[in-house]
Amino acid sequence: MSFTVLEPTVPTKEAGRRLAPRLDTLAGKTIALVDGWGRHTAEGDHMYPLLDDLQRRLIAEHGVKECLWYPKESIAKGLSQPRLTELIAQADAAIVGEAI
Amino acid sequence: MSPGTAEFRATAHEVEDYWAWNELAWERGWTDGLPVAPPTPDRVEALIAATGLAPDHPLGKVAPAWGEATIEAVAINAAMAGCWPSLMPAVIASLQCVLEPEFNLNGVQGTTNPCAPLVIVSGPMRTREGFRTDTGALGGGSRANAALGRAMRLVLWNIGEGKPGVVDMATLGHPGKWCYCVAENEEDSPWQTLAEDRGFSREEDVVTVFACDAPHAMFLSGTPERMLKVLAQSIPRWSINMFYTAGQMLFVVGPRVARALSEYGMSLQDFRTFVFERARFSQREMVEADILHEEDETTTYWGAVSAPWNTMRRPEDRLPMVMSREDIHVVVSGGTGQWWVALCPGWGSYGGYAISRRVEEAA
Repeated sequence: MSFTVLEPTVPTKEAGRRLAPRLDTLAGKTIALVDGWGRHTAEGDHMYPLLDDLQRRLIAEHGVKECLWYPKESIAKGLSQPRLTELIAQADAAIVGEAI
Repeated sequence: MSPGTAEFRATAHEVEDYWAWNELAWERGWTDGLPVAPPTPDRVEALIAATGLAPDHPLGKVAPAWGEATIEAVAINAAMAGCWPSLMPAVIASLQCVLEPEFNLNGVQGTTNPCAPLVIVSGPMRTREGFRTDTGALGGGSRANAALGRAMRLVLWNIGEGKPGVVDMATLGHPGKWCYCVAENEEDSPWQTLAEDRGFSREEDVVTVFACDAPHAMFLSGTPERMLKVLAQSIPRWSINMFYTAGQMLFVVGPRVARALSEYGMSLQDFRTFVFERARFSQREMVEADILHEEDETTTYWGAVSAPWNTMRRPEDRLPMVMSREDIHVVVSGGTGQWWVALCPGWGSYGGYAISRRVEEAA
């Protein structure tokens, strides 16, 4: 005998999310690099070689004016609201780096 | 709300039978692989009614998908877990624990660490609802443990979308992700309960949720002095989460060990102090084992970067596993056969900290 069941999911943020307007060019822009680990290493502040390489290429090959580094306060949490506000004020776009 | 008159926000589906329902649940990603009970309108309605709250009452948004945990949505998942009405207040209290910012559910659901939220049940509801507290307490054999643990899992799965390989990036995971719930053996314990230790009375129903790894069982036989020596030497190992990030840890102490230590004159607080002061990482052993090098000491273990422990550099220095005694939680549970203790390491200082809430009766 058939019966009725109720769906256990709910609408999520993902379902209603819209992408921010895309940049028309990278030339002359300021790009924020969000470092997922934010841990200090002997070579500097950056954990991931991938982001370092991206920074070099963005500037050398795409005319990016400047990259700003935003190490997260904790690997396990997003940027704090004050840091996020600062990022939005200073950068035209952000690359959120997370490598495992 | 009269029975059978509820209107639901959730989409309804018609299925042919139990197995057709389970096929649908699997295809749509509504279950983590285990069979689930059908959330029929009458069962969901009964669970909602037991809360005394409106179906659209919001409990909060569940990370990482940030779906809204309404009473209705939680009740549907609790129905799939096999919950019955009088268990609903515990489901809600458990969910409220993990929604506290200090728990950092977003991180717990997404980390590569194999931690899972463990629900710990204290108070009269253990016996009233039939939670297992004695032999095999962490290993099944109780409908109540299974239903509450599964309800938490399915809420985090369906409303939070903590699914492996999508946002749950746990490298290994652990079996407790399916269902992780334990109840205190208050009757056989000589010590205060976890709930009492956290400021509640023994007469209150309380749930505590702590994100932790799978239980690591340790056999501690012999005299109390020998038990304590074995414990102190066994747990401060260099691969444990605490070595890298401190945080919190939980001991599930078998009643026989708790009694032996109590008769030896040790209270729960004494046990906690002993672990804090004696189960330590040895600077000398780290150097001798080639674990600690001068050039990378700032990234090797938590004490090297956290004041005041970062001044410890002498061979005789010993670093505690966690930053304070209060970061050591103790639950007495299990049967009285033999001398067993389980260590459940937490997720370090990233989150998953133990949060307790009183289980409120329906209004």
